[in-house]
Amino acid sequence: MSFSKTIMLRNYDGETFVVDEVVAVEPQTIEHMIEDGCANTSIPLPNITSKILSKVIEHCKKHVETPNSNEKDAKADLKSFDFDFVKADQGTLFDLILAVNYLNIKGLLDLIYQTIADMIKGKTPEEEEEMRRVNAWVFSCFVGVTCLYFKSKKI
Amino acid sequence: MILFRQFMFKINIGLLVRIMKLTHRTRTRTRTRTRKASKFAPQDFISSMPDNVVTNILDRLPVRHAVRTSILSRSWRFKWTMLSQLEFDRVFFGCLMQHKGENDCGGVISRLLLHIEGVIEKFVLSMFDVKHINYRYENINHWILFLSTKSIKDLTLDIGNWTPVKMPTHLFSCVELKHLKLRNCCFNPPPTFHGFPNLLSLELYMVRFKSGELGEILTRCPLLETLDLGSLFSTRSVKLVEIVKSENLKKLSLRLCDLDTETIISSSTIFELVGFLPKLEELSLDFAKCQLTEGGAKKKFPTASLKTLTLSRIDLSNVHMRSCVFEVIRNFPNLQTLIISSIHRKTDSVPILPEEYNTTGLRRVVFECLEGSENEVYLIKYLLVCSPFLEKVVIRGGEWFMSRKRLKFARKVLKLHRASTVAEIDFK
Repeated sequence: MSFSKTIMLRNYDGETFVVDEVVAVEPQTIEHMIEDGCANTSIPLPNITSKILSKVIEHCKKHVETPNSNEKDAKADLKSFDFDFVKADQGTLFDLILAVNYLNIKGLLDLIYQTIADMIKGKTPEEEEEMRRVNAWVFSCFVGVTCLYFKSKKI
Repeated sequence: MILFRQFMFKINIGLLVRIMKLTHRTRTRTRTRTRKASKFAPQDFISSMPDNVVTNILDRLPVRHAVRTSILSRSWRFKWTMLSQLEFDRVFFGCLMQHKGENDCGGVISRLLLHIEGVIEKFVLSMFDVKHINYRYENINHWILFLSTKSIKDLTLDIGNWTPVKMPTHLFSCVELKHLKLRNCCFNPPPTFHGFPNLLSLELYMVRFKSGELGEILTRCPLLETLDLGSLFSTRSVKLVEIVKSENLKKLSLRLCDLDTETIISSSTIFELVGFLPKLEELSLDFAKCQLTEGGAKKKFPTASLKTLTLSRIDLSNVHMRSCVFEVIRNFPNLQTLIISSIHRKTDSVPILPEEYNTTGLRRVVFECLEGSENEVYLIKYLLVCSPFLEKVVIRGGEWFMSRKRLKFARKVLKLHRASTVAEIDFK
């Protein structure tokens, strides 16, 4: 029977999250706070909302609970968890970045940075310009044809 | 006919009205867009991120995409100058020559480097398979001098098939280097070289150095964990005593023909090498151009740590090579992964199974470029019988492994007895 120590995290909305110490020390910021003895009552995280903090805790828990082995199943499971984790809307993704940047969780940071880089790689400025140009051409074609018609009818 | 014209006229009026409504809507939308940021524009989110976040994201894009962000807006003009990871490879040079018709690629890279403000942690220059560029090797000297002032930690210089480049002395003053990979260079440290105190991995391909120099370098890199002497410029250029100076080595890769030994190489050479490296976990040996002989004095060395062994370009029809494989499997008890990649000479030798069957701890075995010979079947048979913990066997045939022969081979292998109840055999 082991008694694992728990840490209280108090966030921006005043909500408290109680997590096991093994999960709480995943973010390096919190690990340093615990080492420096600032975690006696609860750790304040004033710039993180409940929604984001619960997502971060979920990710840390999953990575702590998965055994660090070379088992292909465990690795594949973790990979699909990470893949689903970053399928959020852009607003959530960027709020996550700010929170994880503050908390300093290396693995999660790398995951989110890579996701955003992949999103940017998908949209080059040329492709967007191309889309705009094609739409503009279609519009001017219709106007041109209509003007010609009216001219021929002398209206 | 008149009815049709009237019909077309009506449609055009309808279209015009819709188009005018659309432009009216877009005109009003454009007006409001300038007043407040649209929640659909991704750039607005990224622009408000702290600098270190933006730099981390740009680092993960190809260099040309990252530099292109300078045209997005005034605030983005110089965000790319904080890039800390730069990679110039075949794709980069190809795009430069194709789109810009740029001949002076060296000038482009030099101009780009001058703009970089912060620390450069990673720099990759890969000219492998790059053709038709205006290449001047003095550029490389200038770049290395620049990088030595920028706390470079990860450096890759692949000169490809161009004339080998002599590494400038500035390279040896990059004391923060953790990873160094060189290809087709001359690596001659000056007498004042104090070593790379933080170096963790060193990879040298087609690199020339003077006799005894590698040992000196390795002594001065105390933290070295990975050493890859993939193929040196000339055979018999490295002594065993030089390699074993890196006591902390965990991964080692070398060609046996590069070893300069007094006697002909045998399996005891391999045991000696592993014996002097107590922390070694992964070993990769290339048997190309190697003349093996019968195992010499069989000294027992503690080899508890070796977990992964790769034997490449090994000729299983050669008696000495085959017996070397069996000895190695028997004498590395903690080996978990074995990868064998074979080549084929047309020698007719009678396949013989060893007399002793010792239990191994193997979990995964991979065979590459198999031909379907009896020798190969015997080896697989031996492994299946001696490995009660085996989980997976992967068999990949060579190009000459015709489909009919492959089927016959697969049938033979699948009938073999397996000591492990969970072993899976996968033909790819």
